[in-house]
Amino acid sequence: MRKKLGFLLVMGWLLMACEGDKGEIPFGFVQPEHFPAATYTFDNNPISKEGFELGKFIFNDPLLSRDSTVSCASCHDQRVAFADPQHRLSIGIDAQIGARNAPPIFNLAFVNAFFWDGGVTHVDFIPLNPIANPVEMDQDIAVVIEKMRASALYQQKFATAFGEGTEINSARMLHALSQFMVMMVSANSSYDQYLLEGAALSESALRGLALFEENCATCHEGNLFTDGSFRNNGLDTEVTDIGRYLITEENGDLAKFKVPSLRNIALTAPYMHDGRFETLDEVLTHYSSGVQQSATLDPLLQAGGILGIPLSDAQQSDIITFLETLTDEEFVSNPLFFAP
Amino acid sequence: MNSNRMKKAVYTLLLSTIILFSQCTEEDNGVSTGTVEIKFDNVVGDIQAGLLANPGNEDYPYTTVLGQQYNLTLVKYIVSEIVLEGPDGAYYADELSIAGDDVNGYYLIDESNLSSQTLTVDQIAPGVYDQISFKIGIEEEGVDQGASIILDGMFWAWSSGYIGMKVEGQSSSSAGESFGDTIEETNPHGFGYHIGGWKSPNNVREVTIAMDEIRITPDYKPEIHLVIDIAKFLDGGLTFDFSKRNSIHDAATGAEYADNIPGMFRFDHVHNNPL
Ligand code: HEC
Ligand code: HEC
Repeated sequence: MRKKLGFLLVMGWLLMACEGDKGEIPFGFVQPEHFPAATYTFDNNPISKEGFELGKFIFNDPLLSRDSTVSCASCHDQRVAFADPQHRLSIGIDAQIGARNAPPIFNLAFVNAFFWDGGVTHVDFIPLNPIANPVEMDQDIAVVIEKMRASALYQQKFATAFGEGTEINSARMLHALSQFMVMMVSANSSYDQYLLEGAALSESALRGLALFEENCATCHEGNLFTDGSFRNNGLDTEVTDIGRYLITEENGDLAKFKVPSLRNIALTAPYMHDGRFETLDEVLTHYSSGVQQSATLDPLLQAGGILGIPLSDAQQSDIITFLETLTDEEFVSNPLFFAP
Repeated sequence: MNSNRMKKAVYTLLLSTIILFSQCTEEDNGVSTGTVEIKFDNVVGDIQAGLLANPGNEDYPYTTVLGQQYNLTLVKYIVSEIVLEGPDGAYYADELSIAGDDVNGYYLIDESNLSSQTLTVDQIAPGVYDQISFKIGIEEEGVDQGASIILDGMFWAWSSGYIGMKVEGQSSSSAGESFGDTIEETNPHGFGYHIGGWKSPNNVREVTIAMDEIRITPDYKPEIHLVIDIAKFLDGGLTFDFSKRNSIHDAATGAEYADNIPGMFRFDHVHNNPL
């Protein structure tokens, strides 16, 4: 315990020293001013450069999968905001097909519901799922820890990240992965520059923004572009995937899914939980004329007895132009996140 | 007390806590708090030792009130939020924290690991105590802290949350295809009951037990012996029928049986050992 305190003091002193010497911003999480406050438990897992680097290494290491063929990065590619660029339903170990489309990864620090059904409530718990999932990585986490303990490279990396002599265990591994993932903040799209610095948006994008605020922002709300709720946006008449029901076992939650963020949406095709739409055109056609009636269809999508959100072709294309302004080039090309 | 003196007192208290924390517990002697050991002695009815059988073993030494025979292959539960109370107002609440592998106030009791069955709780204010309470499982505040070492094997990944109680075994009345840590789906007679969930429904259960008096002073290290009857879990308010349900792996199904949990725990005896 005393050692740890000393270590913290030294760390704090080092950080201050760095700041004073070079005027550099110390490595760590930066809260974007126009985002809701981060809810990640930084006190339990303080971010360090070394912890972040270890997390990045693990994220890219196929050691996590049973036969060492699949890494997190196999399904989550930075070039497309850490979504899966290739597959409608993700492909895991032994080329098995998963049930859902891999969502992008960013802005995890601000929310407390992960996966399409929101079953995971803390960033730290996310990796437990793909690692154990028989169609993703199919490996017991205890085996992952065993493999890491047996590796001189991991011993050295954990020591650098968490202090000499610290044990490699699942809590530390999860903390390292979280340090990497919560640092993935996407808050610098053209739209953010418009919002914060008054940078110009095209006429079409501005018309799209107004239409979006009127028709879409009730669900895709605020600067995270989600209100965090679970809803049925009218994909099917019959239940094809129980969605949120798996977690709550309430009939009213059948076929409801987390309202996804729309940041970087132009990069993350295909769309919806099962990746059924290949383009944003198809998505807009869905909202405009394809919404299906069902027991749990969201009231907002059947207001006044009209199914969906009727939009002209021109309006649809303006909304798409606006959605394209949500692409954050800096995020997807940031060398900080490049594979080691 | 004037407010300056008060402030000073608070600072001194804070400072001494910090100093205390930065030292090892062995050095706490001479400070006016005490320590207690709590022993969790698992039994099945009258049987006190050798409770567990190996997976595949087809001897069934125990019988439920429905007359179904069974054995046990795994018994694990999480104890949290320990509180001691006394007749004269003495009160102690175990400090709770989870930060990775730095975990306080949450304990995993595992029938296959003897040392896990004795908890040492310290920093208790001197006094006489005659009641102990705790919870089986981990409430939302604990889940919200993120990764912890005790989640190994006691956690639902797909619907984040701790499993408060795991009871696994085999019964001639079970038709198989159950699963768990010790039970493979191919096991023809397995059963696996995992009780978890902290939200809707919340299956964390509180246990309150009246006990003989223990005296906490810096010079005594009393022991509290509790007996936990696994048979009461299976036979309790809602009796398990191995032929009808041999698996529980979600909160909604477990909710019907969670109320069996408090009935498993009873007071046995205390020792007021001088140090
Ligand atoms: C086989 C492909 C695959 C692999 C490998 C994989 N994932 Fe995923 N990931 C998915 C899919 C599919 C989902 C959505 C699952 C769902 O919601 O049911 C997902 C969801 C996520 C999310 C949730 C994002 C959100 O906002 O809800 C995160 C974060 C994530 N994965 C991180 C990881 C990490 C870390 C690893 C490595 C330990 C990993 N993934 C390995 C396919 C994969
Ligand atoms: C009633 C709430 C609601 C409204 C209104 C709404 N959406 Fe959605 N949106 C959702 C939900 C829920 C999903 C995820 C559905 C699923 O995958 O099953 C979604 C998914 C999407 C996706 C796919 C995201 C991805 O990562 O795959 C896009 C794009 C989208 N919506 C755009 C829009 C646009 C544009 C509008 C306005 C025209 C709009 N939404 C209006 C709730 C809504």
